[in-house]
Amino acid sequence: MRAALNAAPADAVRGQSCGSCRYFCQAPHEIESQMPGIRSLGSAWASVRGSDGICRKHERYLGATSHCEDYEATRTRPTSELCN
Amino acid sequence: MTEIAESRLHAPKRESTWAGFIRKDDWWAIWIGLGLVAVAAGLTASGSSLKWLAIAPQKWATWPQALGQVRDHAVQYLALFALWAVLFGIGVSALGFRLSRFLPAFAVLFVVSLALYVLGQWDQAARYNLEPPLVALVLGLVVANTVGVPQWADAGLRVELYIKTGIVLLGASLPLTLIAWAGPVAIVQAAIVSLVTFGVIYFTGVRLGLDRRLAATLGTGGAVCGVSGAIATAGAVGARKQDAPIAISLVVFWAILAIFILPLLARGLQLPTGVAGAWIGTSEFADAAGLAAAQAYGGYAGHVAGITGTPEAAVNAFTLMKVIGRDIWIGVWAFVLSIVATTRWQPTGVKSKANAGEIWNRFPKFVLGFLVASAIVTVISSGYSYADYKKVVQPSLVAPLQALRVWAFTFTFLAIGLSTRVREFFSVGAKPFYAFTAGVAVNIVLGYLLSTQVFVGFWTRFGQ
Repeated sequence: MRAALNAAPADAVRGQSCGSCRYFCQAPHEIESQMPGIRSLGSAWASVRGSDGICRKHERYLGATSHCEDYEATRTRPTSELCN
Repeated sequence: MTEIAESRLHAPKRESTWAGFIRKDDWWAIWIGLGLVAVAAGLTASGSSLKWLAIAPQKWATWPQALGQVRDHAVQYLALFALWAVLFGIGVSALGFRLSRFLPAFAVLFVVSLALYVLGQWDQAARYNLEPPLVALVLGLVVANTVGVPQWADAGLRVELYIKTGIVLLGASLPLTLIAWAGPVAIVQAAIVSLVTFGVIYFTGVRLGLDRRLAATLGTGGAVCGVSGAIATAGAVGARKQDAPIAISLVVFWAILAIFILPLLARGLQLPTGVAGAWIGTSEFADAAGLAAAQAYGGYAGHVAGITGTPEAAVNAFTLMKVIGRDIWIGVWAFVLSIVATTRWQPTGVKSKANAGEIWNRFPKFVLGFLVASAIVTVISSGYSYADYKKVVQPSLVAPLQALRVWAFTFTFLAIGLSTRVREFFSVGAKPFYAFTAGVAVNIVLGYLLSTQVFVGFWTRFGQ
């Protein structure tokens, strides 16, 4: 029990990163549609993109492990591949 | 306790290792490219060859000859289409595209590529500058920006999948010993140019008042690996949503111009193919664009007076410089810039933590396929004398893989043109344009000096 409570803050922080936020979109199809030109000489499916995505709240392109105070857990699935 | 449970429920899902193997085009390029190398090696070992399937048009002088060639080998071309359609079809399906959209788009891409390939084999093609990469690009650009290309056709225009597959296949014709010999020089030359170009773009951008994250995104786009560099850095530093598209548009704009400018300049200067390939590899902004320029320039060897070296040397030197010298370092650039962004730059309201694991996470994995393909053919070749290599390994193993690579590159060049919208270039703003263009100027001049003055002896020998 004590171990679980001690672990709580760390888990909470990890759980509240962009990868599980409802504002975060990392679906490659959506990234390609929102970044004109990427298809010409690149790809949203490339390894170099890692698991980055677009934050619709802050209008930024971010890593999935970023976090902020506006976090809202997605209700549909653990990671928001869906963009709407 | 409930909160703890909920936070765990919504913990960010880490993509499993296996999922990464099928959800990234880098890995599909490896599966397809190495699969072909393995099959070709197996057939060679059993006394057979892949060459029936790896059909390529031969030189011709009259139209009846050209049409007769295609007619006589129609079954082989159909089989080759089926092979590519199956391999790429499986790959794009795994990436989430519909086969019903991929197949018709790829069929058109294949037929037009065949026509361009045949045209390039005309014995007067060099006289009229009908180099297949350049013709493919121009044709694609004209179609995409006049008639237009329907959105569903995107499934068949997967530039990155085609170019990465082609680069993996290219590894089969580059001995590992040659990569080990030339790699360090490529890394030194590319590092000098990358650092200087990044510095010029970044500091010019900051001086012009651009946000540091945009300036860094532009900098790596121009200095390291084009579109891939821009998106990797944008994510690592937490750039604004519009920053990556600005950098991407500028990369595409200058990369496409450089496809025409660099071979033209090198031709005017009558550079040997190895030297020109090194220059293009240093100064081009994207793999696919650079390979178009290098392959076009290689085509001048033996056809344009004063240009020495082999056609392969231009492509090989380019690949070493761009892939080994520049591309593989993108994870390091992203990691270093993420540290700078989180510790030195204005906070954005979103917190990030630099993570060294990102160096591997962002590593362009297709490079591993390129190296493994090279290692496989090097090991196989080591069991043969030079005379037997020329008699057995070259025609039955290496040549068919080279032919398949040229097909993959031709799909790439046509797909670049067909997926480029010129109107997107005009929305980037003046300041990013000036900053990036300053870097382009320095990049081209410095790349020229290093390739033709500092390391000229090395790249000339490389081309022979």
